[in-house]
Amino acid sequence: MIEFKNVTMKYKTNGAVALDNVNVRIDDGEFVFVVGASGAGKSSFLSVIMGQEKVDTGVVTVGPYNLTEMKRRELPYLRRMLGIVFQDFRLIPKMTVYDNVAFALRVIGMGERKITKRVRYVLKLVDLSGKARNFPNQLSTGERQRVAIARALVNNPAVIIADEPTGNLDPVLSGDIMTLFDKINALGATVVVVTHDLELVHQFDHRIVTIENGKIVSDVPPRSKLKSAPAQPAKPVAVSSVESAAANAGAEIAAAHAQVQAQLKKEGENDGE
Amino acid sequence: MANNTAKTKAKKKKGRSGSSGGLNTSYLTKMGFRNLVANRSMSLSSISVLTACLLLIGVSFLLLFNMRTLVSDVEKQNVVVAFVKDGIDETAKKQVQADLKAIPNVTEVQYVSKEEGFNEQLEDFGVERNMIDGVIENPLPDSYRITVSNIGEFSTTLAAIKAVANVESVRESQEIIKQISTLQKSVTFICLIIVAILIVVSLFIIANTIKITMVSRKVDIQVMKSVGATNVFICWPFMIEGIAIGLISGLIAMVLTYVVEITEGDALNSLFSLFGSSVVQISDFWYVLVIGYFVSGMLLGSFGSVVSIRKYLKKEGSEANDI
Repeated sequence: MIEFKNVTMKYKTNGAVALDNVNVRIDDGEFVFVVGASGAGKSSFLSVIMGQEKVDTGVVTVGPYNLTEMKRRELPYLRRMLGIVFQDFRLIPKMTVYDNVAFALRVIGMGERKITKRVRYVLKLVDLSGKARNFPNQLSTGERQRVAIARALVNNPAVIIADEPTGNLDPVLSGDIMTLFDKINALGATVVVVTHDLELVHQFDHRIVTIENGKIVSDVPPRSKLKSAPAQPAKPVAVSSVESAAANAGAEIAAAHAQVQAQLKKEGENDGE
Repeated sequence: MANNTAKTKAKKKKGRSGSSGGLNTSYLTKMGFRNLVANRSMSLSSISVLTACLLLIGVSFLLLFNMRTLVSDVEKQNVVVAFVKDGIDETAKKQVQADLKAIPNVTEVQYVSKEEGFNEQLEDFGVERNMIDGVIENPLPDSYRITVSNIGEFSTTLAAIKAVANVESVRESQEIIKQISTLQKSVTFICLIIVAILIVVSLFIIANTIKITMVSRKVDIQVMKSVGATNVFICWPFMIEGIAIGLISGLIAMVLTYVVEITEGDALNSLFSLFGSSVVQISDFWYVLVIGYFVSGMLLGSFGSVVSIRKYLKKEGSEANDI
């Protein structure tokens, strides 16, 4: 659960208000789009969740952590329960796809055998099993972003946070990536995606929080939860591949869900050992 | 994938307690060595400059060590001769010896009869005693050879010797002693200043190398932070890199010190022999040298790394602009 209570934050550099009395609650398992124009405060919103910025007033809670009272040494542990995906992927160029993903587990000191198992599983989930030995410069932009998502996922985080994850991608790939996030959300993770691509947002049926000048100006629940909502997406999917991806999403999610349940059960048994 | 709050709390506890496996030190150490090789041009230049600094530090210490040995050897030879008044009886002579021994800073008092003294002098001049018998009468009185331990307190000791009853005159070489003492102080002072400067220079070089490495690996550090790496995890490879640079430099500096001793040792020895001393052989204390070079290399390497990393670790964020 992520909760902002009366949160106000000013930029340290110029004192301008980045977040103005923000109140929002994101429950476990929710998928939320945070939208708004450039400079509206979307990234500041994410920075606060990631523990990069401290708020001036109010209370921020992420899972068991109260970020306003959290000590600096607790920050790495907060980040271990978050999977962060950046617009520019931030892959380590000298590492293979496998090592880039495994890195997140090495950081927490996991054993190599477990790492191998987890990385293989996550790479399969993002459909990159065949590219494990490739270096980032040998991948397409879409593939790179999927590696970044795999890295965010591999630690089995409670929350996935994506800052403009489709900013560097064309509409086809953007649709694919969002479908992947959908899939991840279906597996139980809370997903918060910051984007300014409204067209893309409307292709999916999720809660939309709009920020303007640091304030939350609207907070719209998923269409499926609105009685008066139309059955179809507000804006039609423009690209055929995304259409087919969306059409297949249900089946994929069901299959992936079954797969992850089996994996979790297996891991639970291993942990128990 | 499913996580409820209770599970997350358990995870938080688990993560902190380190039961998830703790720090993968072998992986991090490997990473440090890999970085050393990957940044080889930078590493090589640091090793060269650090070797030069360590070598100069080592040579300065050797110089200091040898100066101390030289002064100590001269001190051992530092005999003040106190002549006693002619014609005093045995009891008075014994009293003089006791008084001299009681003076602080006096380590040894040896009685030399007028005959022994005269024979030694003639021997020094290369003159046979029978050649001058009946020609020159022995002009020397009985005397005491006094060894002083600390040259620094020589003047006070000398005054005390002169003040002893029945001591007529004193022969000493205070000027030479004073000069050697002053020289030792100057050499010590200069060497310590050089060592201090070189330590600062070495730290600066190591810190700069690590800093450049860190800037070139900004993305790695950002990623580390974003996936929840602790400061120790981030520091470890850089520390290993710094320590390795220090150790390699220490090894090279040690070999070079041996080379200097082999090539210049004879020249220094002949200089030292003028004062009745000899250069301290490295083989006599090679273990001190090995430990000294390696420990100082390691300390300089790790401290240099810490200095540059500290700034980065203070940053909380993982954004590009933060670093």
